[in-house]
Amino acid sequence: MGVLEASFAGLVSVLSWPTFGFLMIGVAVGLIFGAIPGIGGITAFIILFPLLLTLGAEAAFALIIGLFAVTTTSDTVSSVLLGIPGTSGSQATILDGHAMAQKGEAARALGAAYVASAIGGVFGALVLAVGLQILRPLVLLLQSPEFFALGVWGITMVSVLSGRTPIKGIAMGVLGLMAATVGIEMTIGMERYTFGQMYLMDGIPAGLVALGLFGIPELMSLAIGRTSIARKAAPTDLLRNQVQGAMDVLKHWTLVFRCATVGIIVGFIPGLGTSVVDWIAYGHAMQTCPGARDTFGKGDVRGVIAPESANNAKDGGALIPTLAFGIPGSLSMVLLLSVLVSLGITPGRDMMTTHLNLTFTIIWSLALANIVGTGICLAATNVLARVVFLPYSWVIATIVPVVFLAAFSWNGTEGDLYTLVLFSALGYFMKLWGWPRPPFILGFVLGPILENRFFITLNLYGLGWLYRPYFLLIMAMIIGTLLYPVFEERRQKAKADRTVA
Amino acid sequence: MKVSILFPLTCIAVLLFLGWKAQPWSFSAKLFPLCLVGLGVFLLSVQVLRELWGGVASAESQGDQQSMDVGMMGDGDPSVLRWRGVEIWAWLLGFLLAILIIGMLISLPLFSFLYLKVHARERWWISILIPLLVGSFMYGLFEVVLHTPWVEGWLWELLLPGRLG
Repeated sequence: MGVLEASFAGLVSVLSWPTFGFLMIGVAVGLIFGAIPGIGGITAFIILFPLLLTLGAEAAFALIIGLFAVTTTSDTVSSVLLGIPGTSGSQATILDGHAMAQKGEAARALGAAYVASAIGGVFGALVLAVGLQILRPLVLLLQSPEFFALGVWGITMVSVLSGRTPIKGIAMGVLGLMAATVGIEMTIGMERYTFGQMYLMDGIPAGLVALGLFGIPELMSLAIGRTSIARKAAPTDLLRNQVQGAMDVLKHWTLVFRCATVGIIVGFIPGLGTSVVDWIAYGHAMQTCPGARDTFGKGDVRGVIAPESANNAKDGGALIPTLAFGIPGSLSMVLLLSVLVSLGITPGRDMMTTHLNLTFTIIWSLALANIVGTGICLAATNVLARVVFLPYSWVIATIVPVVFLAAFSWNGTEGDLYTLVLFSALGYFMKLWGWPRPPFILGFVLGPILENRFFITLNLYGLGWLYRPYFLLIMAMIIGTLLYPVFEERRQKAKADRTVA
Repeated sequence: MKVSILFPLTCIAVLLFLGWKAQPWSFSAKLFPLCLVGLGVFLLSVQVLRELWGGVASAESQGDQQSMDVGMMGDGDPSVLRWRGVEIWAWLLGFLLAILIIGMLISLPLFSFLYLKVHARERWWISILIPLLVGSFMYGLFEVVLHTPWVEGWLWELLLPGRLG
């Protein structure tokens, strides 16, 4: 199928029922969870994981993309009104957004943020569509040895970038790969690490691992940190003056596109992602906008537009390596990859050939979700403002039962609940003692694919695969990734020495 | 002994056990797991040695929650945070136990109600309304849409044998 036909088929797929309905559900859930400080899209995604696997691929991805695309739109509400980031991607928005709210310009700040988010998100989707077509010939050129090496590179990259100690990240990636070996082995059908339990024959469900590693520990973190908001009355006059904010965005359109480009680049580079994209865009705006050094941090609308354009655009950038090579650019992409694999779709070549329709469904979903999400935010900003003020105990009392039931719905046995608690304990201690969790889940998700490609490679190429030029190139990149922290540390040390001197 | 090395030491012990369990398998079945065991034990051992002799644990554990991982456990008095950690674990384990003993259909709204009323000391109407909404949503999604079978609970199986399921 040609690219244009696939693009049209993707659009028809998104607009058809029930895919469009699931896109809207994803947008609605994403907006609510994005607005609650300390929760975010990851928890929402994990709760919906069992539901996703009962849907067709198009509907499942419409829901996921709808959810992830708009959490960085509604997270602005708490940043502006409370000075608390809804998600890690809206930290920089606080500086000027909250300052504007204190000056009585909250609605203007929110209007600017929503419209900047929409433009950034749609621009990200456009770049994703073009970027994938540019990379398509390269992806089709690669064979199993290279895809095996790309998988290893992905885990290495996520491991190295997940914390200050790459060795911990790689060790967790290895543990994740090891956990994926539980169950029936694919080549000769041998049982591995089942310990006579029927429950483990099909392996440990990826959704339960994700629920345990991220879902429960994040809720526990909320309960421990008690980041709830005092019972202040939510403002009720936020609908007015939003138009002025929207006009500000149009006035500063070059800033929007520059920061959206920054967002796409940061999203494309694995490991950087949400927590830094807003700061980089904010820094860029401060350096390039006239008079910004005097006005930024004191309620300048450009200080809201810059991070909000970037944090929605980054999803488009992050999807490029995820879909083309199976290298996720952020934690949300790791989880998206796990759904892809759970639905029996292998990232890389398949996404450019047999599943090109699905690729375009994802791209269209991303664009539509940003537009619809912004429309809802503009119309229902008073409702979202109330969501922001929910106490933590309401969130825990609502979400914990849903998480347990979501886990139980996996196989419908008590084993699901034990697995959930086991991985929750693992996730909790990993978080507590600073062992990164993303490499573990990525290793777990990619484990069966990597092992399969490893055996195919050995059987087809013997030892000849070790001399293939593309394989050697990727290996060089893996070595570069491993050495990166060493050089970075030296650079930082030299910089610190210069400062002292 | 530093508490921080307990985690890698446990991981090493688990990996060694898994490596030992893989010994009798065929070559193709054990090749991948044994490679992982070797690599994992090596990396974790290096980290244990670094923490024992390098004194890097505390600084690293403070700084590792960056980039792709999310959030920290919260700021404030460590003893208070530790107590809150124990408290939430007790709630979760109690919830699990309740599901196993009295079944899922009762435990889900019950947890919600008790957490709001006992832990958060919410008003009665909130403590009743939220569990009702939670229960209705879950029944609709998991029973009506997904047809999930519920855990009946050991107690009911004991009191009403053969009448459930």
